[in-house]
Amino acid sequence: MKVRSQDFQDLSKEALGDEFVRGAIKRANVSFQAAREKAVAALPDWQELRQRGHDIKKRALDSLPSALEDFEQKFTARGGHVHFCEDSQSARDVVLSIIESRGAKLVTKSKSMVTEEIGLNAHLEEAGVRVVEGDLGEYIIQLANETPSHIIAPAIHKSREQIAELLNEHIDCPIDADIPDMTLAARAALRDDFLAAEVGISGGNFAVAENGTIVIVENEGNARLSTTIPKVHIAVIGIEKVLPRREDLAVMLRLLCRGATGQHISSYVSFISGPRTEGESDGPEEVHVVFLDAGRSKIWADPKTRESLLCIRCGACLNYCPIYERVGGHSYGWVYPGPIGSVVTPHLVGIEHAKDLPQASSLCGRCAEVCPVKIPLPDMLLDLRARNVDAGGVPSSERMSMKLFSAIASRPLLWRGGLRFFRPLYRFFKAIGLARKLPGPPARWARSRELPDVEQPSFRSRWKSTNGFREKEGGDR
Amino acid sequence: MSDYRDRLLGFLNASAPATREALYSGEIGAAASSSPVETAVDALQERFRAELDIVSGEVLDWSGAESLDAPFGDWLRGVFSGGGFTGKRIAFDVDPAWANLGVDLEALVTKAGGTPVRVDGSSGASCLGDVDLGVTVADVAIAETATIAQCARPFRPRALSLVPAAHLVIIPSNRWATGFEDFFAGIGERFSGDWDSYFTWITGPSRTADIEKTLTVGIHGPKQLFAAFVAGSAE
Repeated sequence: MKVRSQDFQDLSKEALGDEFVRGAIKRANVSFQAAREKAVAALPDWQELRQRGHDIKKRALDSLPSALEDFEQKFTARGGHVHFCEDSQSARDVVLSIIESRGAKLVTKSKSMVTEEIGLNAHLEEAGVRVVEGDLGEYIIQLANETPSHIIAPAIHKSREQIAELLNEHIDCPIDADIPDMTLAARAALRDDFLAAEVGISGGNFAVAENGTIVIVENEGNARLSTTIPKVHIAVIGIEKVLPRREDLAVMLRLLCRGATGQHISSYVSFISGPRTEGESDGPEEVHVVFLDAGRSKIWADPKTRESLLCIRCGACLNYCPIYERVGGHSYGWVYPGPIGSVVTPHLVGIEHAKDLPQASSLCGRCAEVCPVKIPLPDMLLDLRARNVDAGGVPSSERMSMKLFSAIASRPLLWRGGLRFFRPLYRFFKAIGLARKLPGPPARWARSRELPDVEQPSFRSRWKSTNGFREKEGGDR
Repeated sequence: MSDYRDRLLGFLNASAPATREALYSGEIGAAASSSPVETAVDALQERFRAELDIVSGEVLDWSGAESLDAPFGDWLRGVFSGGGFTGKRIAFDVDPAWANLGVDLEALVTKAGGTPVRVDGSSGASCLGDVDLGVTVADVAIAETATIAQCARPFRPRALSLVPAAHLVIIPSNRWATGFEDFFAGIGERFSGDWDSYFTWITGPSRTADIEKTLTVGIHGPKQLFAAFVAGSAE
């Protein structure tokens, strides 16, 4: 998928002007938050569960090579195939070669962010393979030729009227259909493809090392159809999705479903450890797991960034992020939006292509509070900001200004003297709006900010005159 | 490809902070309060009923009946006369549990006025396309979340619980798990079947909220899910 994260400022400006999208995301977030909070409140040990989830994922990552080897050994022993791919291109090639080896022309797919990441659909279609997205949200954006705007609600940016128009154009669906009728129309339209598909492609929420089992969580049944009816199933999974043991799923599934949709468990969870067994009439005859690296091993190798790989892609951090709520998922310019997107995108595509994303945060910390596996997202955003400075990602004028500020602010005499001198001047500048009229970096800085008011009298003089606020205000502070 | 496998594992092995032993060393499971602790079947059924209600599924309590024939047949006739299951095509597998539960589904469906569709290890999903109701037996019922677990069985197409418009699952009295921990602990020993190659969890009907976050039931899987409690044992 083409990276447009370097255009974050332009994309977000455009999104801010779209009142429907802003309203839709706001409504969705309110609904996501209410559902999650209700589900979490019903579990008295939620915080302990989060810690367990964090520990389980961390244990898997700390022993990542053993986890991958054990998975491979178990999965291949039951007749499955495992492929390790260095980058998106090699993953696309592996998937296409499997499809071509079966002479398949129709593929059904269940929702998978990692296949978005590698740009799989376009690659397969160029080779003459028809790809049908089965998840309703993904199907809608496939018809609209768009990309997902949310990790678990890909078409959240589209109105029911827009969707009715799309469905009416492509399938048997009246233009004035209500939401249940649109859903039924999509069900009917996709059913024949599901039953005729020769290959099914999915992602995977977890890959269990000890048992060689991939786990797919969904609500619609499209992943079950794609992994049950076709003769071949291909699961494309990031190498970080490993878990140690099947028993660990008890914790991880509770966390994932509550974090994502506020459900106690999703409608369907499939646990797949190989091809169909003898005597079974359905289930795939051939199952492939395509493990994707594409920069993950580099993230893993750096202890400061490794924890970003704990992510279970529930989307909770998006649903609580004030920035995402205003600019929407497309502004982030690639596959992963919101706080987790701002953390992983710069690492996966290069900070030089996504230097604004770590700035797309107020650092309010809600993302870290709701993350079911306790990823310290604000700390990671700060680390990325520092890396961006180190990599020369900010103009030299900004670096010089910050250095100057630091030099003055760390010298009390200089700071006080400077303030005394500049305070009246600052007030004058602010009154005439000079900052916005300046050319160059100061204007760019001031464009989206209000200059703060200057305390009058200053905090320092108030502190002094009140003896630490004790005498005049009588407070016991 | 295998070239990259070796390079990747070599790179990771060179700097992995922990060993294989550490991978499998952590404590199993969650704190007690996440997982129900009741073990009496009626308490498990109560929890299951409450959870299934949340996800728009329906419990049929046939546990008071001596045999399945009467309540199942009456229920089916009631649905038909109410205009439900319009094609009256009812599919079921050849699970040995049916005999243990003392029910002849072919005769039961015919007597109720429906068309029986018997599926087994040679049936493809295409024969289920116009089926109104798929009937299966739960391999395990997990009370915590009203979840039905079914593993790979030669006598039961995986599509039987997926392709028909509705799904009825029978829960025998000996196939209950309290919660997720109990389920995972039991599939190694207590619950029969092939849990090593494939299994699925089913909780309520198929659902989506992909259009304006409006919840709609019945997108790709069954639009209705019925779970029947029965007194008999599957074995």
